[in-house]
Amino acid sequence: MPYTIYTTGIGYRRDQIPDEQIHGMDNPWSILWDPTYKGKVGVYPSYRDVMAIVLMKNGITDLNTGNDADLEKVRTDLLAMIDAVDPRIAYDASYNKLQNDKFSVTTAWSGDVVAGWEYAAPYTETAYKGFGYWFPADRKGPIDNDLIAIPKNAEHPRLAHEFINFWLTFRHAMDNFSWNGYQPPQTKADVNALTKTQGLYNKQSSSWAAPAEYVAPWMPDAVVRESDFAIGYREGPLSADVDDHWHEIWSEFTAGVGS
Amino acid sequence: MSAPSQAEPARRSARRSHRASDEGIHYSRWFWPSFTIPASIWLAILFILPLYTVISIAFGTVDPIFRGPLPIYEPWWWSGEQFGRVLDDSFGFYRIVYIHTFEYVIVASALCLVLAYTVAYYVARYGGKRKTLLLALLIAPFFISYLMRMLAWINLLDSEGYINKILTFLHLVPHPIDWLSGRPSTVIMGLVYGYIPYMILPLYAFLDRIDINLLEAGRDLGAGPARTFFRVTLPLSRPGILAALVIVSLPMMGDYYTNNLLSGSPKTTMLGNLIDDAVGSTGQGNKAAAFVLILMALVLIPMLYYMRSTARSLLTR
Repeated sequence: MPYTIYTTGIGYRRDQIPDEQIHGMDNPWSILWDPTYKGKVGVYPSYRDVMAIVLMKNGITDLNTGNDADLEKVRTDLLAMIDAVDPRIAYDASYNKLQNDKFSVTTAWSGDVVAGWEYAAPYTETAYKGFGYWFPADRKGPIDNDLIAIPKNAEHPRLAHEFINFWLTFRHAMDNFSWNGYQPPQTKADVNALTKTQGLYNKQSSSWAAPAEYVAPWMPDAVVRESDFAIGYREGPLSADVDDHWHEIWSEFTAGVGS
Repeated sequence: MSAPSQAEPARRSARRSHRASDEGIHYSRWFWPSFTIPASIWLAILFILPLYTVISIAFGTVDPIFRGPLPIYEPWWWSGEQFGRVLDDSFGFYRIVYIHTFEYVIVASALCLVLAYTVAYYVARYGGKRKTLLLALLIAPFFISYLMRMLAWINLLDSEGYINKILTFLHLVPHPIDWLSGRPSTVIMGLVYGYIPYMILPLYAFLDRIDINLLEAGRDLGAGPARTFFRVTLPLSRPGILAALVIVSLPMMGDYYTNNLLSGSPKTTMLGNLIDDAVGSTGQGNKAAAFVLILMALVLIPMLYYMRSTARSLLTR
């Protein structure tokens, strides 16, 4: 069962990169190569997601490509990134390091940025409003979901189904979303509802003066729409040879080749 | 040749029985070797078997569906394809990682040695009544996990951390230094900080055992303090230096979290990071195992040198 849905876009600090700037760029994906932010560019230690962004930057929408020419472009761009911005590889890039001004711009899963306010010390309005999320306005970008599965040999399959039913309930799904930032696949949870409705956890944390809405109103791009799954691009399994090729390129990047 | 070789066991047996009879106790010839059985079992289960599994993974295959490593335990079915590829890449684009690793480990070990030797020397020679207290203080870092100590350094070295605050307050630097911006010097500093306690203790143990009469003899023969140190103390502490270097440099070679926490930049990637990356990547288990074997081969070189030096020093006693 799909448990959470998310897009992969770009997280940025709004005090250093105004919304108009990134939204006005011809190719916002390329901001990750902008030397202005050298030493403050983050990427996830996730070869599929980072290489998917490099593909998007090059206008290649097949996120499972095995085409040598496509992958050569990815290799060239990844190695160029090292020279251009000396990126940092970190899992907490978009929910911690961005909020604490360690990074100016980073690859970002929408759920990480939505939950990022919990890490935005000193928990003031300025700190909350300090970071944003960009995803293509036409919604043509990487989209994916996490899921809950029941093993075939599960000892308590009925209990497992009850548990899944619990998560499918709108209220529980939304309560969970209000603290972990990853959106449940609920049709009622649209952009309007999420950016204007107060979440349970957010309300409980009101003493922090946290944004009360499920998703901060200034980052509607972070809300996943049902239609995104028809428009966006999904990562699928790669054949062994293609996967090895992807890994080889990623290894060159993590080894610091190009520096 | 046959006569001496037959006579030698007999001589040894005679020596043993002579010694035993001197002490009035008679031991079976298996009595003392039996003391090694627990450690041998421990090593067999927790070192040799896992090592063989790593070898079987390095020369094994990958699950075609789930892409997990499939070890092959029968050597006649082993494939050297993945290992060969990693070895080739080690001379190719991974070369820079090996160079970084050796640079960082050599510099960090040398710094550890200089710092640890002076501390150990002071405690061993001039600790006096406070020796126990000083030793306890030296052991104190072991009470905090390595990971926690490194996490503390992130805050200390932050652009708004205490180190920068002190440096700017004292006007030693005009503006805060970005220590955590992927600097090799920060990684080396982290390694030194993390591993130095492991070097101080063996050095102290060796320096404390040096017979003070030998130092006094050197002085009596006209050597000054410096000459006595370089001609007597330093040569006598050489086995300790080698042991301490081995103890810290071997784990440093495989370290990955110091670099992860204090840098995170691909420009400072170490061999341990490659293993960590490969272990966490689908379909790359064999590659990780191949790196482990290469790392083992590399650390075997200083280990063999240490064993040779130790054996020689035992022979000369």
